[in-house]
Amino acid sequence: MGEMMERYLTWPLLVGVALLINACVVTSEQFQALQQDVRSLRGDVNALGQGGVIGREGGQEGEGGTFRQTGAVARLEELATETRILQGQLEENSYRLSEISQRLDETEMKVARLLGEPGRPGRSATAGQVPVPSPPVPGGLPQASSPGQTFPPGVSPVPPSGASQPLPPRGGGLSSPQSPRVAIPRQPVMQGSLPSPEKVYKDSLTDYTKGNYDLAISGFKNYLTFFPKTSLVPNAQYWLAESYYSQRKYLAAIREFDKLDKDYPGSTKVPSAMLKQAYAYLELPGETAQGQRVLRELMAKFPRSREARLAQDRLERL
Amino acid sequence: MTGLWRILLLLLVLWGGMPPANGSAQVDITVTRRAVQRIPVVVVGLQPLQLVSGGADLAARAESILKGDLEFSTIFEVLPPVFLPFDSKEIRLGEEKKVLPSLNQLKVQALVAAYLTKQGKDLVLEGRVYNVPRGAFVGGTRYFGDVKALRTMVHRLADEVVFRLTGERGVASTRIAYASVEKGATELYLMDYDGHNSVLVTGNRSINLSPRFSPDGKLLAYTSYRDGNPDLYLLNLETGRRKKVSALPGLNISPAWSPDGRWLALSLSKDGGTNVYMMGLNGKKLRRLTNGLGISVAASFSPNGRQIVFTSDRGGSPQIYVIDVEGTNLRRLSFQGDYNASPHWSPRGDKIAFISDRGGGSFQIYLMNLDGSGVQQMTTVGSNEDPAWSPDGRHLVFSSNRSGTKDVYVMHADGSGLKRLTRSALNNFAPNWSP
Repeated sequence: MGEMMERYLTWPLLVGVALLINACVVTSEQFQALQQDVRSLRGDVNALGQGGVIGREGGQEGEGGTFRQTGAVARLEELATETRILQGQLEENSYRLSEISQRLDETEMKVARLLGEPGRPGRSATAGQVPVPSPPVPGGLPQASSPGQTFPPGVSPVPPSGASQPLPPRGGGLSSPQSPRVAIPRQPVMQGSLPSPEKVYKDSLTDYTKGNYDLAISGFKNYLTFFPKTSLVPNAQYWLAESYYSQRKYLAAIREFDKLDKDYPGSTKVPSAMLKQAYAYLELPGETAQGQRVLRELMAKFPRSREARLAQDRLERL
Repeated sequence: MTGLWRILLLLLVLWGGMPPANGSAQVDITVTRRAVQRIPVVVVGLQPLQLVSGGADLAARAESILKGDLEFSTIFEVLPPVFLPFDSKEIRLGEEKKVLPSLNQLKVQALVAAYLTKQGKDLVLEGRVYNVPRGAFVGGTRYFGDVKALRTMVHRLADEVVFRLTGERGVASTRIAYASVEKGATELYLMDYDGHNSVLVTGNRSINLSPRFSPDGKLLAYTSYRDGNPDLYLLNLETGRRKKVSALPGLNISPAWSPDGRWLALSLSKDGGTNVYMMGLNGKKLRRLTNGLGISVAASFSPNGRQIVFTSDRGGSPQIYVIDVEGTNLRRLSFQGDYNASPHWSPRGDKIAFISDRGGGSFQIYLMNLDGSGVQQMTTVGSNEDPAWSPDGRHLVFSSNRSGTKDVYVMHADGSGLKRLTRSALNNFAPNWSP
């Protein structure tokens, strides 16, 4: 009965997600093809421009060449407009996909509550039923109270990890041993009220924006701990790393940015995370080679991204 | 009379009209609490003062300004004298403590005693603040100045009251810069936050736009066509000295200050398209943040200085985007309406104000959360543009054509408390609030 209800509630959403993903893929392909066309035409225009210069210098500029050049410029502008429109459609599709994912999160929470399965593994914790972190691991990170989020008695937020933890060994990073992962709690439950995932995320993002980085770090860690399967987890991971980066705690930032690529390789934030991880390496004495390596890796993995261009610029300035 | 006292009055009327309680009659009264609870305060003192016989009562003017400042803060609710069990003007300097018990019975939280006296050619404004429930003196201050400085003295006293009672900086001493069209030119002006004391700051008979106060309030960045090209200038408001900081070919427009005051974000068209750049105050260390042949303008920094919100048509229509100051992590925030522009990040960090045309051909002011959710419409009448936050994030200033010409208005961040600041026959727009 419960499973049927769950299927009934989530199936339309899943179909919607699938359709939207499909739409996005098609749009992305069209978008990339158009970008390729624009690049190709830019090359043609440049070549024609150079030809024109040569022609003028030789006194041989013909009307045919000028006509071709004007036509190519018009086509270029047309394609650029089309590219912008497709870019807009791509952004809107991504937005709708994100919205549906968040609604799916909410629906699953409601279904779990209806089914009386508050701490179901695989999706987020249910409001009113709070997963409790495991007791501190001996020798592990100390428990600390969160100044930012109000969690119910008996629920300990994940403590902020210090910047002194070792760096991740991204392809032979620093010569430190692999960092101990933050203890992810098991999913026992207790009665109490937990803020919704949306509230925890938004409050943490606001704390980050205000420059309350310790609160933001605590909040995003709580989000990752208590809502580990929700759609905003990769974003929370990014903002956690970015909060450390903003504090100039580059070791911690490198470690957290590294998790984006490793744990959420499909996230749209991976190129940004790689770029900032490289920048963080470059801020550390003796880590220039690591920074360069990550920049090159970024350019190889996402050659058409704006981050690849920024990486290229930075490499040229090193 | 404001809401709380209306409710109180209503309760008194209801109480008087009810039959005496005899055990059988039971009346349930539900009082809905206002969304924002203000602190009830009382202002006493300010005995009449005229410099010449038959002249204006300066104390009455000061009282009006002080009460206006305290009410506009959205922090306080000034109790009207009619509710007091004593004459507020009978309270003399040093006698304040004797009225604290009666004020405590009225649930008044703070007493502000102000006294305006004449000392030679100067006026002296003395203010004292009391915590009523504790019966304690919180602090006092004294200001000297001539008649022309009276408004400034009272604004400072109001800010002192806000600070003493809440720890926040008030906005009564702040100023607003704006552009005004006159005789074919567009000049920049400064005025007090309540619309008084407007002064011209450009006067070059050219087009001057986008005034933006530096975080310390000492510099004003703006774009001017004075030399033919839209170049970017910095005006030192203390010395009056101007400096051209960006005169690159094409547009040098829509400046925004980083919160640390060390950087300007601006839009340049030197490389084709109009893109957002970051630049040092000396015009050097130029760094491009956006790419493409589209138009990206109207940058505004997040309070932590790590992100910039701006308008771009990179998706085919003007929309609101956010980008990290490294030029990465670009994302779009607005998805409703074909025209969303002029974003301004709240100093409290949690909201972005912007304008949107969602039908009817007019712009309205909206607020949204940092992820683009929770969109709230703040205006409905006329066309409203150029929203900018007050430094405390409690108010918005904007321009509107609701009265025929474009004028500068302020409102509280919840859309209430609308107040028109400019009243000339000219078009006044592009306001920016000083720190």
